[in-house]
Amino acid sequence: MGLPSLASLVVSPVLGGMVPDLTAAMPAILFWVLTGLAVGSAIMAAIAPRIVHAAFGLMAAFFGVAGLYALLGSDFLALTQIIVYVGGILILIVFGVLLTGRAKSQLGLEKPSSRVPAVLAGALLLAGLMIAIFRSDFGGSRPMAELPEPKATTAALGRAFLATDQYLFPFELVSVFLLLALVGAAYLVRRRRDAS
Amino acid sequence: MLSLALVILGAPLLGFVLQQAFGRRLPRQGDWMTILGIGASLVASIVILFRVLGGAVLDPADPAANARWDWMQFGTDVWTVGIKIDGLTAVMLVVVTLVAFLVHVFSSAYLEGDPKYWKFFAWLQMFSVSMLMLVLADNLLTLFIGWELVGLCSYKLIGFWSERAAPGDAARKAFITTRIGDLGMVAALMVLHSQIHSFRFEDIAQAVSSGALSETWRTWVSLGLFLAAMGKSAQFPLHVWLPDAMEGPTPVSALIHAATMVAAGVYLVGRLFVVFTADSLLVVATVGATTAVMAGLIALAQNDIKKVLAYSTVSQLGFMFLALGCGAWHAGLFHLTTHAFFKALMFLGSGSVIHACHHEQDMRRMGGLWRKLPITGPVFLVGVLAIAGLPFVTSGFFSKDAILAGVWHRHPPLAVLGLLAACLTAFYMTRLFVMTFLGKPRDEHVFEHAHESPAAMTLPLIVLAVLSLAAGWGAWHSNLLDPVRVLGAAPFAGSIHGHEHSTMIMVFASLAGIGGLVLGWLVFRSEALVARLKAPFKGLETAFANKFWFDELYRELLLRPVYLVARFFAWTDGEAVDGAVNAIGRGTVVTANASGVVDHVVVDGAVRGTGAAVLLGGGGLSRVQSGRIRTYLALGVVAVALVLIFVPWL
Amino acid sequence: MTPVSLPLASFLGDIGLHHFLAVGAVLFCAGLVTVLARRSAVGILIGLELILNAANLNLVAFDRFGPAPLRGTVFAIFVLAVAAAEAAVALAIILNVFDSRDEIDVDEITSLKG
Repeated sequence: MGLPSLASLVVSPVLGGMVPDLTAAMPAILFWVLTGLAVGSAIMAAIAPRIVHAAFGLMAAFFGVAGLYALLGSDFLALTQIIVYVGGILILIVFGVLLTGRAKSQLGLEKPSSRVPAVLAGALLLAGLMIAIFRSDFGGSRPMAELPEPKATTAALGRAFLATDQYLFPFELVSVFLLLALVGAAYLVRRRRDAS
Repeated sequence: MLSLALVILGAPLLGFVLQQAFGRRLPRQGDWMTILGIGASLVASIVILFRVLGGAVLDPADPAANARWDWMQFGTDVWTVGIKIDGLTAVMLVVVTLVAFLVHVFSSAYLEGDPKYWKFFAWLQMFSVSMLMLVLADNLLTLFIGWELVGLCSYKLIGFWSERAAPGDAARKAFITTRIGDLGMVAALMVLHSQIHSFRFEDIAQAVSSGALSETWRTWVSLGLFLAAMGKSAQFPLHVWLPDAMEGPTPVSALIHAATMVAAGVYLVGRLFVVFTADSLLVVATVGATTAVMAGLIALAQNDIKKVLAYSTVSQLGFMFLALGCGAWHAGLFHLTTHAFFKALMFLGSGSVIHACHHEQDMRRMGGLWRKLPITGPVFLVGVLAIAGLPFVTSGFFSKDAILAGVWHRHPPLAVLGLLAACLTAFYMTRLFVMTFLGKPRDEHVFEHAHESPAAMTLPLIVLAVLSLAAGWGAWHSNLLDPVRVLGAAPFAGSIHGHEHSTMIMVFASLAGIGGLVLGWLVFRSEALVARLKAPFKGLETAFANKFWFDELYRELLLRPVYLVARFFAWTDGEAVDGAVNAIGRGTVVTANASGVVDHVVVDGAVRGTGAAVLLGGGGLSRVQSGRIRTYLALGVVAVALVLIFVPWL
Repeated sequence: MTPVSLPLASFLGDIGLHHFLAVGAVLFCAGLVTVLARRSAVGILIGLELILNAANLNLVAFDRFGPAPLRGTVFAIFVLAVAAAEAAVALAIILNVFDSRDEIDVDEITSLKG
């Protein structure tokens, strides 16, 4: 059961017979909406003068990306994205913003000149990427509509992470890695008595 | 005889070396050592004389004689040096060693007290060695070496009293004038080498007789040799150095400028007689005759006793050349021997006089010394009579007679000149004698202090006087000075063989001699008479007194242009050359400055510019390392973008 | 009503791999611009998260459209974990820097300047 069908299940009763059957077009509509959200908020994150605005733009972008994950059939990942990114990382960033609020840069008035090269670089890269994407065939990909329905991934992922012949080892490594990060971060922010 | 010859050369050479090294420190400053040296040579020479009289010769061409040694080798051309002893050599050896010995003895008294006493004897020895080397040589090159060496010794000895300027000038004059003559010798040597490839006397004689040396070359070679002889023997026009050489001590004048060195020219002509042609001999005879008369005239007007004797020597040498030039080979060389004795006698005698008069040489301040100098006077008289040729008694008579006879046989006109010269000789010699020894003393001071000389001086005089008388007797000279035996085959066609004997000539010669003596005695006895006779000949007297102005002529004709040229070159060097050098210097400075400017502006500018560029570039480029992460990132991104865009196109 | 068979319509209607990749590219560049243009260290972190998200999106898109099932998703999960850890550490560093310099303007923190 993909998002489009779910979405159409939700939408059509709401809208009743007013709206024609959008079932076939639902993937496209969803895609574009979600894309607009993600891209728009990403742009806001990029150019918002105040960091707080940027942080919230980031949040919206996270949501948009999560939606896109769902559209792609990765249900587990979409929810995990929201939990971890929005519920964890974004909180961290907001705290960071809070704790460094006194910093002048947070008031964020960039010099225009230093933005231009960045934008140019970005634009250039975007152009390059676009060219690269749309020139290639990717081994003959079909539109989404023609793909089979996605299956639920949670169980499969669970099995994948715990199967010795699949991704158990990296999984354990990542947990150690997280531990390291935890310890490291804690160490870095400990109060130093002798600091000036 | 070889060993004797080596003694003759070696003893005085050793004496010279030792004298130079130690002479000053020896007792009496080593004069006895040098006398011993030359004495040894004298003894050896006398032994040789007797041996040669007995018929022995030392022929270096004979391998058994061992008298020839290889000297230098040029590829296949080997130059040898050797010793030759024949009649002529034997005579010359005795003459040289005897006179040298006597002069050594004489000098021990004459130069007593001189600060450089020891040096004098060293150089006397060296001169002896050189002269003996000249005489003993078997080839022209070795003879020439001896020739040059005697010239050197003469230079040193003339200029012995170097505290004054005049001796030095005289020494230089002698050396340079004889040098001019030496050009002739060098030219002759070169021709001989190119034509015959040998300098040996026997080879030259061989070439002449075989015709290998052509008539033309013979004439040129002989003229070259005669030119050298003219220089060395002070013949006109190269005679100008001999009178000046009287600046040297009187023993030097006696040895070198009367008996030996000046005779070397005559010896040379005599030794290489076969080379001479009729033409060159004529030149020799003419020059000899002219010189004989001219020098005699000059001698007549000289007041310095030594100058008279000097010009007399020049005149007598001219006589000898006259003889040789007319083919009277024996006569010329015989006269060389007799002249050596009586001229040395008179020079040493004058030395005795000068010593007695406390180094007064001007005859006008002498007079009446006969009473005061009982030994010097009579022996000097013997010399005067010898040179005048008093018949039969003196050796000079025999030799002069031989000459005149020979000349008359060949070139009668020249014989007349010869007679005139003979007469003149007697005349001016008498003048000298009268002015010095007879009459009233002209200077009381000089006369007061006059005293006879010590034995060391008078003994040699006596010996020489005896020889001046005795040398004419006996057949020794005919035996030894036999041209056929000495010169070898095919002598010059003409009468060099034997001595012409002409009674008529003998009479005339005797008359000339006696006449001159008597006339001289008559005239010069009285000063008033002299003055009266001289009165109409004022001009002539001036000419004679001024030596025919030869020195002045040379000074104007030769020296002046040379000085001019020298001054010109000095100016050129100073102005042009130095100017050029200075200009180069200035140019260099300017160039250096310009180069400096260039260096400063351009080069330094380039260097600094490079530095600045590097700094700028570095500064610019270092901004890449701004430490700004974002910049790094941006650059990286740009790079990736470019890759993405362009790689598909590659 | 059926969508008209125009290229644009096809582009708009037929959502394929390219679309998702394009979105990923846009997000990536947006994140990049954020990183380059922001002076605040936190701002850079924000940009960094955007970039990571874009990469994740790409992964999942390939997962869906590509042959191998789940691989992309697994990779994306790992990326997520790492991103979280990295965000934590990064913020720790930022706070540290803020403590010592009282400023988190990256232009000011130029100790590495060459």
